[in-house]
Amino acid sequence: MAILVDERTRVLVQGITGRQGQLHTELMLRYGTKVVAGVAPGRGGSRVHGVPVYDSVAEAVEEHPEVNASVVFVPARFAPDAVYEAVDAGLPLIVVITEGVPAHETLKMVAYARGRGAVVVGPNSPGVISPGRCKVGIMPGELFKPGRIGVVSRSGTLTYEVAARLAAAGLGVSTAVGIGGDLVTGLSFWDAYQLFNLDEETDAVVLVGEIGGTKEEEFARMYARGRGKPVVAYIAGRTAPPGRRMGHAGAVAFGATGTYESKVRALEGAGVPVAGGLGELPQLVKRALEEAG
Amino acid sequence: MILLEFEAKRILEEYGIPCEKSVLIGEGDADRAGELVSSLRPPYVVKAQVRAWGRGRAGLVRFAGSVDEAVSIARGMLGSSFAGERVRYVMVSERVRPLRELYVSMMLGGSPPGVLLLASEAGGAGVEEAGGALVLRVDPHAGLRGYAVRRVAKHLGVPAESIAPILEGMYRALWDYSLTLLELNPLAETEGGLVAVDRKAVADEDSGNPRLAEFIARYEEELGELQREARRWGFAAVPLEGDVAVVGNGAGLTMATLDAVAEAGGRPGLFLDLGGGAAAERVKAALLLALRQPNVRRVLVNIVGGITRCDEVARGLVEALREAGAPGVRLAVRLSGFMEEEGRRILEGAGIRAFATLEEAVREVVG
Repeated sequence: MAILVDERTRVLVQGITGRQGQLHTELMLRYGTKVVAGVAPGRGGSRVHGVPVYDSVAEAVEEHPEVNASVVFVPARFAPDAVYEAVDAGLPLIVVITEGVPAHETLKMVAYARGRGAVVVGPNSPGVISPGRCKVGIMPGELFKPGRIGVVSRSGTLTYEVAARLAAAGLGVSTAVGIGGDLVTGLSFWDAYQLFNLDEETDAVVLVGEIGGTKEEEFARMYARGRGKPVVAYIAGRTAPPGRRMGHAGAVAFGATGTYESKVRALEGAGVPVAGGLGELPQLVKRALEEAG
Repeated sequence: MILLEFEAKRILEEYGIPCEKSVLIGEGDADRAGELVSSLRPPYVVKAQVRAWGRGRAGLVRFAGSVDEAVSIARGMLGSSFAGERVRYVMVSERVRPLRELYVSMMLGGSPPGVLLLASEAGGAGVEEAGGALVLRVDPHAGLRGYAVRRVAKHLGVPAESIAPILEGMYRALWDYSLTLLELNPLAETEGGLVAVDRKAVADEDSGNPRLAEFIARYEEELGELQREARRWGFAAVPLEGDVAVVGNGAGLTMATLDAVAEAGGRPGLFLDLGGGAAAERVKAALLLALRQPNVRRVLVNIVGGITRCDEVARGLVEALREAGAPGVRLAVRLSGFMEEEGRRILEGAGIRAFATLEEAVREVVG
């Protein structure tokens, strides 16, 4: 099972001829991901690491009707166009790695995709990985050990750090989802949690948040109403000064909005334990698993 | 990018949203300040133009009864500093007497994402604690519809025809100027109608929107050497007060490293996120930049390599140290991921302490 991606996933790479597209196509193939086609306008007919390239998503899907996910490496200016193209070709899952997509463009493309039943992960996402089965993205596969913990995160390298700490404590991952570091993104914490809740191979969920925006607060509000499997959280940015953008476009606290305190209060109020430091996280997960029996 | 209040006011006025009369006094206008203020009717409100939140509590919003008083307050504010920012402009406004102080804001967010429209009867400084705000999600394809305007009007207890042009103007401004937040607080109810007497706006730096050019130029003028250099390399840098520079690859990881340093009793002095693809040249530039900060006495480098090669990172660090000489700075490096052992071997060969876990590296740099 796992969520979003598994051995049945057949991947289309949009922007496959770019530097990032080529590199990660190779790394995904090496991991065992079934990358079946790529798209690069004007480069149709060529191949990248043996993967056939098409001029448009429509042509790629016509030749490879089994494609059921796309990963977007297209530069920020053209990324929204790539997402609309994938939605219009009927693809159900679109993972956007690209960083720097204008927030208002993301808002519109996510609403468009939702209206047509497509899931957008990202932008500014490291991707989605179901360890040992499939990775659609840029994360280092070897840091993720297969197991029964779901991970959902706004971050990239911090997710790898968390996965490595879980692995060191004997805890593997069913699926890890990077929802993206931007202020506006598609798949939410709650969307991912609902999928984990239905997944027979996930026992508990680790939520990795950070300061800025209200995504953790929104998750807490939903979780308080209809909680299922246990969730344990870690929030980065406790010591970040307000009003400063801490790397990610979404990581900035204004006034009382988006602060560390606001997120911890909301999560703890909803019954989600929040780790004081990264080192505490595996113990909290084990405790949550024991309590859930 | 947080806009200055007078920039937000210009945008609101462009969309016909009523604001009070005001003048702007820059650092070069000190001689003309009296003349400028004389064009307004007393009493006055004198407000330092800063990007950070919380200027009211810091005494940077003050009332004045006369031109002389307003000018003297303004002169005192100019050149002073607030949350690491120098006050370069002061706005002097005609004081508005509100019957009630309301709150209206629009921001990108929510799930599914949309434009969140917030309205509260309890405007002013306490709005964040007051609660009870009306929150509506506006779908970007549906746009701001009449029913939403009517709900806001009812919640605020004002006629729909008086709030409608304000909400419609805000909504258009949000899209036209790529704003992620536009807040009127307070929106004053006066005998003459609704007046937006204070405002906040945040613009999306990634938008590439040409309408923001003037605001971005003003923001970049304010940047110090650190942030200018960081922008050039595509790093995210935030200066802090302590003495430990924290350099990492990835925003979340670098923030978590900052937190780990503080948790261990250290005082972070710089946040520097290398971003993706930390090749030797970029790592070298980052370490040299950190070492140039006068408050930095210790440096913690935390790299979780995925695609990033740890041996490349190590070479960059060794080169930076060779170039900077022996600056008497305590340096600890944590390398994890692709080629980590080779990376640690290179560092140790150059006499740099390298660790496999974050905890060990933090202990080394803080202890």
